[in-house]
Amino acid sequence: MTVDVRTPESQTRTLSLGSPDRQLLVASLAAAGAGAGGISVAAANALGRAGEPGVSACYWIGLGLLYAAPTAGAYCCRRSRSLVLVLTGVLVAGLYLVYLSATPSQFGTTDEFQTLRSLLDLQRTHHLFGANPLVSDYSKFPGSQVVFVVLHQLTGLSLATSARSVIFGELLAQGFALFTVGEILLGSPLVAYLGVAIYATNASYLYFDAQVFYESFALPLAIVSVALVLHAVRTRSQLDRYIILVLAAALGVAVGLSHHMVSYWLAAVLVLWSVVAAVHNYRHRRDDSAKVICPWIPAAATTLFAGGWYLFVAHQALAHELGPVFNSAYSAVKSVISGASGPKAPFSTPASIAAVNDPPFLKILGYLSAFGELVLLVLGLWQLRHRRWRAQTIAVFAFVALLYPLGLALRLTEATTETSSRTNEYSFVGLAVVAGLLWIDSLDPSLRRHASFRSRVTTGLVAIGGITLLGLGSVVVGQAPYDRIAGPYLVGADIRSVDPLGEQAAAWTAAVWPAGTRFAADPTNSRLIAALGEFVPEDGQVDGLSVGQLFLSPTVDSADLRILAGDKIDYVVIDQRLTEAPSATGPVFGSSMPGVRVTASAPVPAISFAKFAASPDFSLVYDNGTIRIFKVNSSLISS
Amino acid sequence: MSYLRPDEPRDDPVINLGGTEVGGSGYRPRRASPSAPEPTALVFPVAAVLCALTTLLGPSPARWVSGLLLVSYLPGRAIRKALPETVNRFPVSFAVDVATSLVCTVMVGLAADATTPGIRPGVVAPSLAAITVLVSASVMIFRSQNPARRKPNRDVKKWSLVIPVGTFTVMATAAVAISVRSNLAATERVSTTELSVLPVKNGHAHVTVTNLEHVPETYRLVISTGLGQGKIRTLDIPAGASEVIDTVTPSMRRVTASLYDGSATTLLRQAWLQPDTGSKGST
Repeated sequence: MTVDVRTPESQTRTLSLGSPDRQLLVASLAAAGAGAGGISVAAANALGRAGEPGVSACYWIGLGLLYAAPTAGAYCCRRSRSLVLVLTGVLVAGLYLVYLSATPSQFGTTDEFQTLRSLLDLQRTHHLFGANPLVSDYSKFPGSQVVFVVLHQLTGLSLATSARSVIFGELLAQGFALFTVGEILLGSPLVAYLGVAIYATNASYLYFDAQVFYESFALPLAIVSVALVLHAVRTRSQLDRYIILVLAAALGVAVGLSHHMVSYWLAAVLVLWSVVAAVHNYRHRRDDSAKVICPWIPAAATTLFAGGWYLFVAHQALAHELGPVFNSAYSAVKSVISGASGPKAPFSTPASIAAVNDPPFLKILGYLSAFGELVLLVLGLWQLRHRRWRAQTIAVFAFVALLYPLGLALRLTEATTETSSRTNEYSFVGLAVVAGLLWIDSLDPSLRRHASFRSRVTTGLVAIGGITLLGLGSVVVGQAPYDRIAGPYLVGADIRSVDPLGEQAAAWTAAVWPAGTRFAADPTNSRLIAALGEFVPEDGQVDGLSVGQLFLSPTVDSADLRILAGDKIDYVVIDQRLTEAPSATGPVFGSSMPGVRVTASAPVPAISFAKFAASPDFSLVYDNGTIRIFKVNSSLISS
Repeated sequence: MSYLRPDEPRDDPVINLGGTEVGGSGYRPRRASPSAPEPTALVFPVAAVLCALTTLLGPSPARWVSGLLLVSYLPGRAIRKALPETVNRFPVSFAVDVATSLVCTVMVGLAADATTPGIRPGVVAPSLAAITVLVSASVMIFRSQNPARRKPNRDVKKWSLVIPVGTFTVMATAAVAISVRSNLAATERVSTTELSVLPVKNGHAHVTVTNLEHVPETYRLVISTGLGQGKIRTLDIPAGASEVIDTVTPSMRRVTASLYDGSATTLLRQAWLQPDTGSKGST
């Protein structure tokens, strides 16, 4: 252990770009570069909507600028903490523009529409915990809903704009909290910036974590809580330390109210931290001066609250929501390990349509990104050997980083791909610190005063190129091609499947249908209609028959009637576009039923939808040329 | 580990994590120095009250800013300032302000949920303002000799940071404007099919079909005047375009236009006009 209090002289280093004015100029240019990147990405989305060419070039150039420009600026201005901090904000805000450009003024993703249902319910009833038929556990974790709706009520802005304002503020807070973690642990603003940039290259960051839903609300709070704990263990006064830890605990409780997995992750990190500190203290029990602070207050508060909330409030909803996910993940992993089935090919998609698949060079970029992050992890962990595990806090972050290869392995099955993407947002908190450690040991010495110009330029290029490569590759890994940029309608393609025709039909149902109406529709129209009104979408199974069968049978048969009567379905919604093109994410209503086989590259047979118009059991009540809504004869339901 | 010891000197440390010195110009906990209360202490509680009033009574643009401040900044900032000086030395306090404010809003929302009115602006806005005012007041009353936070040494002048921030903000606003505009254009263009029958002079009427779909469409239009079988026309209309068909309207006869899809199996729209009475309608 060494504590070195440096003299002012030794702290003074030559600025990398001379005077503060020059640094300011460089930082301004870097900010302008990031702004240009944002405009380029926005232009890509505008071109995509208009169906014009040049979309991909604008998008990738813009995205590259968003990563490279602030990184170059931070590298050049590395001696100015204020400017590096400003460029951290520019990086975070610039990357948020990528998501905002795709869906600027309305909700777009599946998760957002599922959240919208809870938000509208809260607006209607003014009370929490109303059941959400789209995702049962949303209503049990209402923290984000409170903030989104309150801001909407107070500002008069739309729900989408209000919620996005909150998420944007949180992303900034998260970026600054990560900056703080890096700065406290590794001591350099540049390394802290690089930590934030590394975190921003996780596959979930650009799109998944930017959308409006409970997980993206809770995660920044958890990271601020971790940063507060880190600040607390460095605080001299015991009273002050307790106060900061209590503040971190309050954040932990709010996280527990907002999202299950984030609260469990936070609890696990804090408990691990406490255990590591306790073991260290036990080993140095005779040397008071070597003892470290144990963050047991936030660890206990977060763990007890998250556990209690699960036991007394959310266990049923979570079992219903996460049970099938874990079961299918377990089966898929078991099947791959036992050799019963082969692993999923990376970047493979169910439908072989152009908009769904990346060209080979982008796939290579994705591989390079994943490989680069693994290299960072391994080399960063290798640096820990110098510390002989004395740096307990860094060891905690290293443990967190070890989630990354585990998450990467989960990409090998279709059932666990989404879980794999989600683990990145947790593991990269650790990877950011571990990568910073690698920088400190390997590249930082080349920035010393005596270092040659050439070595500084090389180091800079490594930093800028590395971050840009990891960032671009992470988009390839984490986001399906059709979901990155706005464009014409595509079947079964999340954001690209939501268009005004669907919204118009959903608005009609919200105006006409009575509350509690049960209906059957494809997944996109289900979530649109159920998000806007108090309606219940029917899916799953009735007497062992999949509701999807209703949409695949060539005629209205006895199985259809059993489904309609069993689920008491009042309306059937069909979207003609499903019969014109294959779904990007595989067969919309499942791949098969007795007598019908729908391959991944085929649309729904047109005859399956035509049967509703021909049958006397259904009457057409809405038709906008694309989406048709049929009312099921009430005698059919009652029978 | 060196920096976790509670009794070591904390000012301007350079951390050694096992051999490599990693300290630098970054994180340095600052020593508190006694001084007079901050002159701006009153600004934030007053701002909170004004924001609460504005969100309840004010016009839209003012409500946007007031609501954002009240929900995501002011309560957290007041709480942070009320805590010991060490908390205020958190390197980037903005993160703590935002996070703490959101926690306050969540807790106020939960408390409001337990009341009969529930989560409404009239309950939440005064509560958030009250938290800010009470916490700020406690600071003024109980910590009149509160040592002010020493400003960190800034390597560049604080005001000059406006240049990169402003540059980026202007360009980011342009990016958002491009996205919103193109999105609005797409939303307006893509709607549905419209059909209308409108009277014109000399016993004529115009049947207008507008294709507001996102792709070119083929339609079958049947115009019936009650005299024999109606005329059937096939129309190929590009996306966003209209086609007008001039038709003669015999007196005392209703003109009915029925629009079918290209295969003439599905009725999309129907519109009618009674020229002598001027009454018209559509489905």
